Order: sequence, then structure tokens, then C-alpha cells
Amino acid sequence: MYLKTLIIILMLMVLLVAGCSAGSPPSATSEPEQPGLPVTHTPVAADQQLRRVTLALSYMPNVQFAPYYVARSNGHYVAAGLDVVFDYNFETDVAQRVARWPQSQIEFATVSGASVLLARQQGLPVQSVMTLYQDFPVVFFSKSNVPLATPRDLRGRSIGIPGRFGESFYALLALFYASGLTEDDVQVQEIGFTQAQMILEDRVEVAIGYAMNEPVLLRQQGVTVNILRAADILPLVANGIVVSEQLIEQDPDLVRRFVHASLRGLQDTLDNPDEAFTISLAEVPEAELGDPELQRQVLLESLPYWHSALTDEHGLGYSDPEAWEQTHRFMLASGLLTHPVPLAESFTNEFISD
Amino acid sequence: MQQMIPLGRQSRQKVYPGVVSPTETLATGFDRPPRRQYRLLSQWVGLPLVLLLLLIGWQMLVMMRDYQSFILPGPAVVVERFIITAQSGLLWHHTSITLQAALGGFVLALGVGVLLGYLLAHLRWMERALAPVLAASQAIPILAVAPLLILWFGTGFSARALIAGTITFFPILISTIVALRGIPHELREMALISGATRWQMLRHIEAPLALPVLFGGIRTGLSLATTGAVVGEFVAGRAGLGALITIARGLFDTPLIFVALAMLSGMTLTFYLLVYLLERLLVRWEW
Repeated sequence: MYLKTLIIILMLMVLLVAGCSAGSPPSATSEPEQPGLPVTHTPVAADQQLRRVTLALSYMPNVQFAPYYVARSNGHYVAAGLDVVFDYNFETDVAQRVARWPQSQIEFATVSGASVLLARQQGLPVQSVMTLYQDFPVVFFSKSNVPLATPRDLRGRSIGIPGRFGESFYALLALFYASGLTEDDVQVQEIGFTQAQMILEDRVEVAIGYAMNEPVLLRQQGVTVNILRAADILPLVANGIVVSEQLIEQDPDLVRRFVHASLRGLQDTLDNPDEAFTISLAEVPEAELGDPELQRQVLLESLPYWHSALTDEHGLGYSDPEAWEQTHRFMLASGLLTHPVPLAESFTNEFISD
Repeated sequence: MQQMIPLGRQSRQKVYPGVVSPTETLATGFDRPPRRQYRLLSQWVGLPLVLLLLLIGWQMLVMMRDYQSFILPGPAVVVERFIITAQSGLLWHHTSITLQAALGGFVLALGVGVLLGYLLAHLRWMERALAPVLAASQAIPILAVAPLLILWFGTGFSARALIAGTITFFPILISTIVALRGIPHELREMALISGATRWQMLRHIEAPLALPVLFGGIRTGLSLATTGAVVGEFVAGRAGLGALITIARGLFDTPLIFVALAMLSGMTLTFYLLVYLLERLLVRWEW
């Protein structure tokens, strides 16, 4: 019995030690980087005092977060006195977590404008301080044999959406809101996140997705793709940086430093996409295992969305008040918002300027 | 199941499955187990043959339907990606994260499950109070609970281990209760008459006799712990096999998804075999 007890204890210890020592989770401490593994921390000198902050990025590591990766890699965050840690989570969850600062220890998050309005409707005290995507990046796409020049071309077509949630669903509702079409005029099919496959196999005629995702994949497969931008149907506010009102009140300087550093990263990305891609691969080494060229195309397709005539005039990261008004009206009319929310508290351009 | 049984010079007697008189059973005997060589053949040849046929069928499906690799990659593509991912160090990096969360959750569930199971097995009033609540909690899908746990506890190890422990807890709890309740009353009474203390009862009667059934719960629980760890990684986090699947989906890298799934299967199978070996070692009287 004692031998058996000893064997049990030994086996349990072996299992626990194997689990704990085989690879500790990466953390933003001074652990050395391991080649081939994701970059996890800001390279800093031993005597440098930085304030550690967390940027919660919505969903998963991807080259589409290049501006933030570049800002960290090029030392812009360090120059601003910040040690930035990246965290990944569902978008609706990052909004809730940033709203709970300081308890959540999440200072910044990437959230869409629609999600900000929905969060504020629920009483979450969050505010957008910087807009990355100047145009709503969701598109309707089809093979070349299905014309997609105007919304009227969608009449009678089968349209695949991931589900009745998220930005793709908002794009569909925006189509109905702005064009006069109704759901009876089209055949909506909920196909999960299989848009590219469904188009390729002609199971739906049109699908909705991000411009830098499925259409890029289809083009790489040799498919000629027609695109109808949701932004051309109805300008909606897209993704940007969100903070809690409490952080703005208690430490506006921190918010300003972070936003400026991020915008420098964005500028570097726009100026040198190849270097930005290389930096992104260090953050997402999994991208090198499959088709890195596909991911490069994803990044290149994203670049035009990150600047506009408005950013040329007002600076990168500019939040367009008209787009916010438009989004607010659309969401009220579509029933996504049950009551108006104060727009003045939903976004600000205060932090993008010096 | 009974078959057509020749009865010597008597006419063949058709025996319907499940409807056999005791006299016929005694006269004809039961089905004999297969010979040892057939058993070894099925074990060492049958399984690999089935796997080989599955692989061939899979490859033929890909070739006949001309699937692109982002829809359904062939087995050769998956194997190649497995090797590349393993050589890069990323596969073990993600696997170790899942392993930690799974083991952490399992240990948590084992501790709480066995302790609570012991109490519920012995205290009827506690069982009457808690059992309905515990049973109802199983109706709540872990995918609904996981985001809340992440919201409350963050995306670190503790939250993911808690998710893994949540899904693992109930099978261990139930197997503990069933195991302890299954101990014959006569043995307990004899031990009490002999002057056994509570600790002696636990150590010499309850623990050894409960082990066989408890191991069943442990086997199930350890497999579920892997599932729970992956669910936590689906919801949040940057590492782990669940996160790798999510990242691969964002990269349209279906072969990498298959690699992660193969690793998850291997991990669960390894857990299962380890517990099986431990059970064989500790519960010898059952084999």
C-alpha cells in the first residue's frame, strides 16, 4: 500500500512538473525571447522605468494589427514611457474589460464604433479616442459572373453571412437601411465563417466579409472577385482604440502618450509596409508556417483603410463626427440601439493632436 | 448472441437471439472467446489497417473533389505541416500551454470533486440540498460560462484552469459518490464492529474499494479537462492549442487546424493511457 501510494505521488509529480516546466506562458517580463515563438514583451534596458499597460486586441493575433506591432517594435511605446502588453479576446469582451479599468487592468482595447455605441447603451463608460479604420472595411463579394456594381444588383441573390451578429450583419442591415431593399428581396443564408468556401463552391452567389480577408484569399486561388463596399452604401464608424472614461479622467496624459505612439506606428506602417510585415511576422510566427505571401496581401489590402482625405486634413486616427452621427441614426432605425446614446461621450479627437 | 447450434443427431434447432431456455444454454454452452492469435491479429493488424484505410479514403476524397487545402487538406499536407510546426517550436509551445491548463483544471476538479463527493456520499441532507443544483448546473454550456470567467478572472492561467476544472468536476463528483455508495454495507458494519475509526474506514475500506469506479471518472475527467482548456483558449488568450486553432482560422491555414486537432487527440489519448496504466498498477484485483 505504501509503495502504491509512493508511485501515485511520483506519477502525479511527473505530470505536474512536465506540465509546468515544459513551457511557461509567455509574459511581458524580462524573459528572453525564443526564436520562432511570438514576441511577448517590449525590449527595454534594465534601468528603464516604464509604465506597463495592456492593449486588448479583438479576437486573435493577425497582421491587421500591424500598426500596434510596429509601434512596439520601433520603440514608440518605450519612447512614450510605456511597456505595452498585448492581450487577445472577443471584441464584446474586450469592451467590457476595458470598461472595468482599473480592476480589469486593461487600459486600452480595439473596438468598433458600433460596439462602442452598444456598450454605452448598456451603461459601459467607454470612449473611442482614436479611429484606425477610416472606412468600414466590410464588403459584399462575389465571383465575376455576379455583377456587384450597385446595391440593386443584390436583388434576388443569395447572400451568405456568418450569422446575425457582428460587423457583417451590420453591413447587411446597412444595405436594407440605405438602399430600400428588404430581406424579402434577397435570400439570406447563415453560413458561419465559411464565406470563401461557399463562394468558391457556388453555394451562395454573394457573401459578406472583411475586404482584407476572404476576397484576398479568393484572388489568391485565382478567382476574379467583384466587390461592393459597405462603406460606399453607408459610411459607418469602424475599429479604433477605446478607453474607459475613468482612465481619461484620472490620467489623460497616459491616453495621449499611448495614442501618439500608436499613430507613429501607423505612420511607419504606411511608409514601409514591407518592414511592417516583417515585424508582424515576429508577433504572429504562425503566419510563416502556411502562406506568408497571403498574409502580406492581407496587410497590403488593409493599408488604404487606415488613411483618407480626412486624415490628410486632420491627422491619422481622426474620428469623423459625421460618420458617428450616421452610424447612430442607422443603429436606432435598425433596432440595434433601443434608445439614443450621447455621441459626445462616445468618441473624441482630443488625443490625436499634440 | 446465440447462433444456429448443431445438436448432433438431433435436428438443428434455431435459437432466437435473447430467447434461450436455460436448458439449451447448459446443453450447448456459451460462445467461446476468440483464440489468442485472432485477438493479437485484431490488436496489432486491425487497428493500423483501419487507420490506413481512413487515410486512403481521406486522400481519395481530396483528389476526387479537387479540394483546395484551405477547404480540406490531404493527409500528406497535414503531416508536412505537422513536421514544420514541430520543428519551429510553436507546436510544443502551444501544447505546453494547453497541458498546463488541462492538468491544473484536472487537479482542481479532482480535489474539489472527491472531497465534495465524499461529503455528499455520507451526508444525505447535504446531497438533498446540493445535488439538484449541481445537476442543473450541467445544463449550462461551458461556452456560455467561459467568457464570463475570462471577464472576471482575466485571460491568464488561473481562468483557463478554472474553465477546465468546471467541465471536469461533475464526472469526478458523480463517480466518487457512486464509488462510495457501492461499498457493501456489510463491510462497513464489520469494520465498525472491529472498532475502525473514520480514518481507518477511509484508508482500509472506502479508498481501496472506491478506486475502480473512481478511476472511471478520472479517465473521463482528464479527457474533458483538455476540452475545457481548449474552450478557454478559444475565448481568449494568445497561446494554447485552442488559440492556435483560432489563429490558424484567421490565417485561412486549415492544415494548421488539423495539426492542432491531431495534437489534441494525441494529448487526450496519452492521458487516457496513463490513467489506464495507473489503474492497472493500483487496482490489480480488478484485472
